[in-house]
Amino acid sequence: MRLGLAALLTWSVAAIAEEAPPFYINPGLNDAWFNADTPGQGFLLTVYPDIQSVFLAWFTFDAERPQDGAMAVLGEPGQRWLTAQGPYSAETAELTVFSTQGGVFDAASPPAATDPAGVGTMTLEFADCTEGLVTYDLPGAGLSGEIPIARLSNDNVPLCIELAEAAIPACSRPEPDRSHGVDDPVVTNFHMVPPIDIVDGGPGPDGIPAIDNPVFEDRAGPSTPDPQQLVVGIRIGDQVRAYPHDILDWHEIVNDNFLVNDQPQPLSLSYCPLTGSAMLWKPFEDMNDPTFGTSGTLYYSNLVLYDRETKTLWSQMLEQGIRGLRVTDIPDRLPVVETTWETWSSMYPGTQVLSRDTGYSRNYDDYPYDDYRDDNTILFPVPNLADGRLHRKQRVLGINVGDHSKVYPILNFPAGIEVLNDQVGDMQVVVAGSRDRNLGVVFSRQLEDCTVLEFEAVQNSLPVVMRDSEGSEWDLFGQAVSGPREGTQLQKTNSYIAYWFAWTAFFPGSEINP
Amino acid sequence: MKRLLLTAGLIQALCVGEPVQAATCSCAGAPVLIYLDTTAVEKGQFFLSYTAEDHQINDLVSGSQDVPDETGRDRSTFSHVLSASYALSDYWSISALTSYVEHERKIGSSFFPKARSSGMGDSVILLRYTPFFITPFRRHELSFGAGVRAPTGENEAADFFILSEDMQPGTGAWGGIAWASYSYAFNQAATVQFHASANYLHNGENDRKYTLGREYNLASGFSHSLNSRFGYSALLRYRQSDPDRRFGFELPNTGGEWLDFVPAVRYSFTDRFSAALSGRIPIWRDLNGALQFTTSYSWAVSLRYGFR
Repeated sequence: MRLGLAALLTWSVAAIAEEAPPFYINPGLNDAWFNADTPGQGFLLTVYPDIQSVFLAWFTFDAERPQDGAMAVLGEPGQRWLTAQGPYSAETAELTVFSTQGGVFDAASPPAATDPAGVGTMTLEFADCTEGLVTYDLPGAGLSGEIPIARLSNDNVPLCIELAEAAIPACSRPEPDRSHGVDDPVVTNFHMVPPIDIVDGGPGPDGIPAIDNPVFEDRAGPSTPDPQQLVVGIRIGDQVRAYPHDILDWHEIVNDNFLVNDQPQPLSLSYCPLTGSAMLWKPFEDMNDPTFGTSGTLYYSNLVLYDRETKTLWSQMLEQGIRGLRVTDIPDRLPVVETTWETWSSMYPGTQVLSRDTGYSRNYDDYPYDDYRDDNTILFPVPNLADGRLHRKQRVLGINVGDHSKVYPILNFPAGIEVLNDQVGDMQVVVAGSRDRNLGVVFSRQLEDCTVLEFEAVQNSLPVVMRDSEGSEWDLFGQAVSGPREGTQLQKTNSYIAYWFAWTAFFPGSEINP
Repeated sequence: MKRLLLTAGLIQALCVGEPVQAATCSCAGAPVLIYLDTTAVEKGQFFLSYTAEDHQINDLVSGSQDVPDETGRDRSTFSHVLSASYALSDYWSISALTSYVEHERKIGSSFFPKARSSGMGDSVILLRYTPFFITPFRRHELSFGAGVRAPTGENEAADFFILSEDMQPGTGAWGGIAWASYSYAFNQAATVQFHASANYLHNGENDRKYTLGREYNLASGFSHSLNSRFGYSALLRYRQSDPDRRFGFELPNTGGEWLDFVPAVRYSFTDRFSAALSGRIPIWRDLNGALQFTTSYSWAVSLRYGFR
């Protein structure tokens, strides 16, 4: 099938995406491709599915005809060829265009050379197995444009159709955003956010000292928190640890180590007392020093960490580098559960608890910010303060899915466990929370095979909090602990608990669960 | 009738007040009042003084308890203060001050380098009324004054980011000052004097919606002139500062009460030119909140010249 030129020029991926399921680039596209309006020119295309890459050879001519009398030993002086290669995803490949120079026909010397930076870029888009669009930009030559292409022969079309259909996922479970920030942040001079929004908190870098050598006690040790004291709970395999807020208020970061597959795994827990938010990050594997410190700065009144290797600043609530060499990088996150010590220690009697023997002289019985937890005080600049739908310091469980965000006020949960089957954006979620136990967690309730589970609350069986319609029971960390789905892990979400004013500063316009 | 100056000028200056405090640690050290020259009281007297002060701000305090600081913090402020006083008449005089301030902050355990800021500090002008002053025939001196602190200082100093308020050379806000002092000479030559002063500093809000806490200062002490060249003084100075505010909200860990011992010695090279060395040593403090960094000590060298 061939489309006319007019039809090809109006071809657009967006239009196709609206009217037809997405096409998937596959080795069935390996072929010779050309534009009927430019005879004698064309492309040879090879798709490498194992490395998700496309290689393309472009046979064409110079932008102008050679001067009269120009000579070539082999071929015609105006002939040109270029190559391009790069990754593909779904129906699109983003390629770098290369120009190889300096060689001689069928000779090793002088060696031909290719500038690895390339001479331009090319986007390759396919609507289906028979039509595509090449968009090129060759800035050195001042050339850019689009070339609709079609196959020279349709021999491979059936194979292409078969492979494209096989490549379509059985279902399309939404993946959680990796970052809470904008999808395509503008980076200026190594800053992802306006420098004026990053403010000096006063104590200076490391003025609030991170705990680098945490000591742990068993639950009956001298550092046992009060029953209603909030703790950040971590469970990694059979290692269960609690980090009381009253210690975190003074240190904000604990650089800890766990054993994962018998190998030490550094993890950094951060807690911002000004925004009431706790995160657990897995440092990047290429970090020689995997620890973080307090930068002494705040972004929207929220903790800004720095990694001790590159001194990149990281926004805790954006969970992203915001200034420095690793700007826009996103660390891997692991789930934490915040609840009362009474609840945590009853769920996990073997838990360890962070010791007050931190190496620093601090009065952990004294909260360092007066009445800040309960009053309306704001200590540093934050946007969107006018959103007074909730008390500024009300603790909310927030979830962010693309452009959608929603909060579940902890106080709105009943005394016992409540489970909500909900949808935020295009993500089906399940929320479990309890007012009296001061906890809330949210997971995707769509499994990898796209099954969407319905949950109901389970009372008095913590850490089990819910049961699905198939009879499996699930715990606070989103793991099925019994039933047909035993061992299955629900997909984590972009979610955490924070004070309302902080959540709405980062995610203005959030929906509030009544 | 000539006023008996001797060490009075020294101690009157030291009686005036305290450095402006700021931010989350009640530790800023930009002196706008403490080195204000208030010596001139007799018509036509004109004094000019320069003071260099080193203010170390590394004591970690919880309420009134000293707390070990394992972070190795090194916070200091170095100030250059130029002050003048001129007597418009035997009753009315005017004092003025401007400053240049350098702040440094380094956390010893930190991977970050030292943060620095410097720039013009705030300025003060104070109008004083002295209904009577010490002469060979009068043992008492009383002065009242009112003035303003003008935000002439740099208030957007940055080290990548705008630094915290306590690291700014200037406050960025206007302030109002009410001031009173009293002196009593124990002998006709006024070689031994008692001094007392009180002042109040009201701070306005700066562009970042930050307001330094209101300050109340009381000081009293004695001065002794051993001869026409050499004198010394000793003061106790009490200061109470309200918490700072941002957006109108009180900031935790700011404000409190301080009691300092302020010794000083002065040597007069000539009738007009003198030098002084003074210090400030904390005796007691009770600071708001759970933890504050505050003054460890300060010392200053002053030079003063009288034009008449």
